[in-house]
Order: sequence, then structure tokens, then C-alpha cells
Amino acid sequence: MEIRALTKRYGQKRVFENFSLHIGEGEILCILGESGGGKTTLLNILAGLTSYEGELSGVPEKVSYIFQEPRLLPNLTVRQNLRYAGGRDAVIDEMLEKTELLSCADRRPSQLSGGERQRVSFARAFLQPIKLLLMDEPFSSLDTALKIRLAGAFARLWADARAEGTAAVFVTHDLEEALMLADRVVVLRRGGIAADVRLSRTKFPSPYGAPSPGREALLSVLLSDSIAPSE
Amino acid sequence: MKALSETGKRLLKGAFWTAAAVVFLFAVWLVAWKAAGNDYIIPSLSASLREAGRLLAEGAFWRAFCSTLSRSLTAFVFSFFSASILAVVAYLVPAFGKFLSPLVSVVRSVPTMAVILIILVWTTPVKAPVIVACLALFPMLFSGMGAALAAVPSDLVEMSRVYRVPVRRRIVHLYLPCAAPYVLREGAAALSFSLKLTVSAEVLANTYRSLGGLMQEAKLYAEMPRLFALTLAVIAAGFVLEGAGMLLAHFAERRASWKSAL
Amino acid sequence: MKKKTVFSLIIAAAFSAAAFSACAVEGDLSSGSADSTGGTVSAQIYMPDGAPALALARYMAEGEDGAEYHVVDSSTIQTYVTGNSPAADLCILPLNLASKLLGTGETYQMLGTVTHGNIYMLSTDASVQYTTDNLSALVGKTVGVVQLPNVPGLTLKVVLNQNDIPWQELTGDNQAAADKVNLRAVTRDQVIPATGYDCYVMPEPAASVKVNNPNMNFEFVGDLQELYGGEKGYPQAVLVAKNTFIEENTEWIADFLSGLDGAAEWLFDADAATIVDAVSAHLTEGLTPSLSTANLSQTAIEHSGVWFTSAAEGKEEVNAFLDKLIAVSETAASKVSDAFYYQS
Repeated sequence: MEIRALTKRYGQKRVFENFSLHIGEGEILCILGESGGGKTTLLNILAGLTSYEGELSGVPEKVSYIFQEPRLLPNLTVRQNLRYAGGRDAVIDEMLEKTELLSCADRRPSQLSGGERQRVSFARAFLQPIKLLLMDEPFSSLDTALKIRLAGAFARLWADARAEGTAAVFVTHDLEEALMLADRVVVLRRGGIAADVRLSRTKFPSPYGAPSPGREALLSVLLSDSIAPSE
Repeated sequence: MKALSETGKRLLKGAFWTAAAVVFLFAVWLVAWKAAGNDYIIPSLSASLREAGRLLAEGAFWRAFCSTLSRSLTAFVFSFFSASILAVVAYLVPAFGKFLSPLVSVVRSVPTMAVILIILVWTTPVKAPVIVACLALFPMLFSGMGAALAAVPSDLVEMSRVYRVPVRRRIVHLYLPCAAPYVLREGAAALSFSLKLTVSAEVLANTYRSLGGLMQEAKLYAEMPRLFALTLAVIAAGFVLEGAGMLLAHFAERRASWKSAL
Repeated sequence: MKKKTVFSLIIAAAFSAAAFSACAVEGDLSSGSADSTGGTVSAQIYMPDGAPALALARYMAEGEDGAEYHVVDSSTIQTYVTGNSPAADLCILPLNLASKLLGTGETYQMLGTVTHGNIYMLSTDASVQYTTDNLSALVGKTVGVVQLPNVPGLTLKVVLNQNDIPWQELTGDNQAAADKVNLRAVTRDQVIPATGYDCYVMPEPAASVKVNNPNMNFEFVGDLQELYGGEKGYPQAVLVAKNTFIEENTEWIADFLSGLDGAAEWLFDADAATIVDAVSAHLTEGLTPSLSTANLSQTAIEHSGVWFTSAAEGKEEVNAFLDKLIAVSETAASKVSDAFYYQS
């Protein structure tokens, strides 16, 4: 998938100007960057939720999106929420098993913990075969143990999807999360790419906080302009 | 008391306070009647209640009651459905909403009771009260429904768009549970308001076979107990309508609402 | 908390009662007082706005010694002759209302009739002038009647009954019948050619306004007073006086009544502005006057049927009219006792 010459403005504020990005088939691409840098805007453009100028090629019309918050209908049970998103019962059961939520299937979101709710949103994202998965800081506001657990659930869900060539674009401001899941990390700064680092791994997901060859390179990029005045 | 459930206790408490309010109102009536000292200004409570008893046994009263109720329900139903449709269209097509907004403001500003005099030139005393009630109800319901739709969480709307949830499913599982309780409560209040508007318009239009017409006649022939008895009947009917509407809203809320799930 | 609640309720009740009473008090504030020792008489005289006020316009213009005049909204007139301390020493009110409120003669007596009908028939088709001889020509036609449930409508029904002409009210549930006179309630504003009825019945001075409007092409086609009782018309509004006031001021009453014939004739000599000013000067504050120089034409004055018939002279006529009204609607009027009639 290609993004070419993307331009996006909010009033006078320029979020992207002639921005280009390649997303490889089957890869998990992580977009790292500071708050307000356009990460979520990029996801929304890919999801077709916001207008833009530029060219998107190879980007499917139908995507899955794991939002920062679970976005579950509070009046429906877990199973009903998944049906709402278009899931068939057989697939729903499979996803619930992979996310260890089978016992919670008939509970409402208010009866679940924060981590369980987010796992439901993960399950929802894999109900249908899709070519592009978008994730907007899916582990934010979760503690480390939960992040690791959720990453494990994601890995179980991702296995089949990767085999079918699904790409994922995953946005975070947490370097450790990026190193845990991403195949490639792009650092976004002032509407442009400050770094594009391919990571190698032996395990998926990589252990949280474990040493990584890409860590030093990414850290130096993240820290290099950290006190530069913003435009 | 111990044997009563929580719901029973709550209902009993509610009934107690309602009864207390009614007694208080009657007490105020008694004091006012005594102070006025003229049955043609404020008739006695006993005379009015006796007259109310006589009214309930009159076929003419029930025919008038049914006609008035029918008119107020017609006005309500028409206003409710037209407001619903237009509110939905305005929600989906913001430009249409912007176009409609000043028109709704104009309708809201129309002095409905004065306008009935114009309306009567164009139509009959049977239809005029319905039109007047619609003019008052529509802007109220339209604004309420617009607010209810706007209150549907935008993040859930966005999620539904991304996952391409079919429109029917969105209506049933997202919009209705979120908006329905609020809309039903507004509707309950509007139902009672519709009755009040219709009766007022009937008085001005002197509509035949109507509660308003009976009130006008009672006033013409200086039958104050009858006039007050008719007023009590309208108040009682308004209470029942609003209560029925609130009950419906309560059940709808319990069945499917955000609140019950949180 | 309980004591506070009870106290709050009591305070609220007291304020509410005060608010209600304040609305009622106005009628009792200006009770009349009469000097029975031969000093200046102070009479409180009430009348509804419109034709009845014309009967006393001269007195209001010239200032009747000792009398205070109050021209009030016709829908409130009954509050001035009822209650524990009625405000009016004298009052003009519709006969049917007087019969219901004061017919026993215990508190008030009727001094006489001051107006004898002001209801006319209008139509855009003036080819037929309705008299008792050809009133049946209304059969099959639709007549728009202003104030159908009130005296205009009742009187029309009396006239039709007198002439054995069948009629029905059109209510929206029924259709016009070819073998009856079809009566439809209309407002004043609906008396326009566009409404499409065959003729209309409405009181003066509004009737003359319609006829004088060149855009409407209306003409007078019938006189309800003549249809009822010939030149005498029918007793429409009566003058009543409090019994205690009569007892204490017999001479004043006699003087007052003796001037009423002249007061009626004065209406034809005085200009409209003087009459309107006289009435308006005594109007309840904020009330829109029904009489104006625009609608008080000579025809309207003539059509208002203002002249005085004493109680003694008009007793039989009054009783007959009340009987006919009751025959049309039992609630419209009541029989009155002999004690209701003032005997000078």
C-alpha cells in the first residue's frame, strides 16, 4: 500500500505536507511520534474517516480499527457487540477463545475490566478477513502486565491474518510497545518521517522491555530533536 | 412495611407525596375560595367536585372528551413523526439541518393562540386546534430529537462506520437505545402539552363537541362550578397521559439503555 | 427536616392564596356607598363594553351626579353582581345572564330593558330580504352565526322555532341538509365572502363594518329584532339595581331612569368621537375598546336598539323571551320571579 503526496490541514495548522509512506504486505508498521503529531490523523485517513489531499493506492475500503478506547456498545453483551460488528457465531467463538474471553461472552462491558474490554475490541478487529488493521494506541492506560497479556492475545489473533497478507499500522508514543510488536518503526515528526527503522526479532511478540537492536537507533532519533522549538 | 419490596416502598412513598401535593392544592383552593367570597370568581371545591361527578355521567362530556383526545393525539402523532423524520435527515445531512434551523425558529416564535384567529379563516374549528397544537409541538419535539441524536456517542458512531455496520443494525442497537429514553420522556411531556394546547385552541375556536367548547359554553352561561370541573378533568387527563408516557419511557429505559448497562 | 417541610408548605399555601385572592379582590374594592340621609349619592355602575355601554354614554359624557361608571369586559360582568359583597349598585348585563344569576330578586331587581337587540343578517346576495313571510327561504342554506351558543345564536333559533322552520347545527360530523336551515358557528373574522356561506348573522357594530367594507360586497338582508318582535325587538340587555341601593335612593333611581330616554336620543345627535371618548374614559385599564369612531356609524347606532323600557312595561315581554330561550337551551336562561321586577 502506498501513501503519496498526502496533505492534511486543520485550519492554519499543517499536519501533513506532501507526505509519502509505503506499507508492506503482512508487516506491522508502527508509527511513533509526539502527541499532536498526526499519528491518529494518519490512521483516520487510512480508515476513510477524514478527508485529505493526495493519493492512496492499494489501501482497502474495508479496514479493522482497534481504537484507543474499546468503543463497545454498553447495552449489548460481548457476544452481541461482536455480532453488531458483523461477526458470525462460529468466528466469534474462535476469537473469544483466542482472547480468553469465552467465559465473559454473555457479560456486558460494565461487568468487564479495562483489559477485558480492550481484548473484546481486539477480537472484534479480527472477525472478518481484512487487508489492513489499524491500531491507535491500543495499550494506552494499561499497566505493563496487562500490556503483555494483551500483546499475547494480539499475537494469537495476528497469526492467521499475517499469513493472509494483512498489514497492520499501529500508532503509539511508547517505544517499548513499538519494539514489542512492530516489524518496522517510522518516527513521525512535524508531518514528515524522521526515521524509518526495520526491526528484527526472534520472537513475536518480543518481550516487553527486552534489548533490541533497533532500540538505540530509535532512541537517538526520538531524543535528538526533543527540545527543538515546535513550529 | 417489612414485607414490602423496595419497589413497593418506593411506589408507596411516591403515592404519599403525590397525595400530599393534591391535598395541598385543594387546601389552597379552599383558602382562595374563602378569600374571594364569590362563587362566580372561584366556586367552592364541593360544588366543583359535585359538578365533576355529574359530568362523568354525561354522554355529551365523554363524546367531547374523546373528540378532544383524538385531536390532541392526532397533533402529537403528526408532530412526533414529522419531527423524527426531519431530525434524522438534519442529523444525516448537516446542510439540511442548517436550512431547517431558522424555519423551526420561525415556527417556534409564532404566537400560536393569536394565529388561531387567522387559521380559522382558512379551516374549520375542528382542524384549527390540531394545527395550532402542531405549530407548538413540532419545534419542541424537533429540537429534543436533534439533541438526542447529537448525544449519541460519536466514537460509537465512528466505530460503526469503520466496521460498516448496516444502517438497520445501527438504528436498533445504537441510536434507539441511546436516544429513545430521552425522546420518550420528551414525548410524554409533549403528549400532555398537546392536550392543553388543543383545549385552549378549542376554547378560542369554540369547537363543537370538545372540552374547550364545553368550557366556553360554561363560561358563557356563568356556570363556574362546571367550568372548574371541566378544568379538573383536563388536568386529570393530562396527568394520565404524561404518566403513561413516563411509564413507557421507564420500561424502554430498563429494557435497553445506556444507563442500565453502566 | 420535617418541620421545615411543613413550614414551607404553609408559607407556599399562604402566598398562593394571597395570589388568588388578589385576582378576586379587584371586584370588591370599589363597593358603592349610598348616603341615606339625603347627602350626595355615590353609585357604582357597571356595564359590559359594546352596545350596552351606549345606553349610558350620555351620562358618562356629561357626568351623572354621584355615579362612578365602569365599562368592563363582557366576560367578567357577572362578578360585579355576585358574591358576598357585589361591587355594582347598578349594572347592565345580558338578560339571560341576569335571569340565571339574579332571577330570584333577592339581591337585585331589574329596573328595565336598555337594549332591544342588535343582530343583523348579512349576505353578498341581497336579492332576498328576509322577513317573517319569506324566512323559509333559508331552508337548505348555510348560515354562519357569530356567537352561535350565545344570545345571537339563541335568538336566531328562537326566531326559527317561532316560524316553525327546522334547523340544525353543522358540527363537522354532519352535512348540510336540504330540508333544514344549517347553522354554522363562525368567528367575526370568518364573516367574509370567501367563507362561502349563504348568509351570516352577527351583532352590531361589527355588522356595519362588514357592510361598509367595499371589498366584501356585504349587504344587510335581515333584522333579527324585527323577525322576532317587530318594532319592539327583543329584550337583550337589562339594567339591574341592588335592592338595598333602591331602598335608600328611591328618588335618585327615579331621576336616573327618567333620563334614559333622552340618553338614547342623544346618541343620534352626538358625534361618534364624543360617544367613543365617553365610553373609553371609563374602560377597564388595558381593555381594548370595542367601540371606535371607525365602527360607530349612524347605522350602527340605529341598529344597536338602544332605548329604555321599564320593568313594569316590559315584564310580559321579558318573561316570554326567557321562556323561548329556555325552550332552545335549558342552560341559556332561567325563569324569574315577580320579585325580580322593580315596581316604581
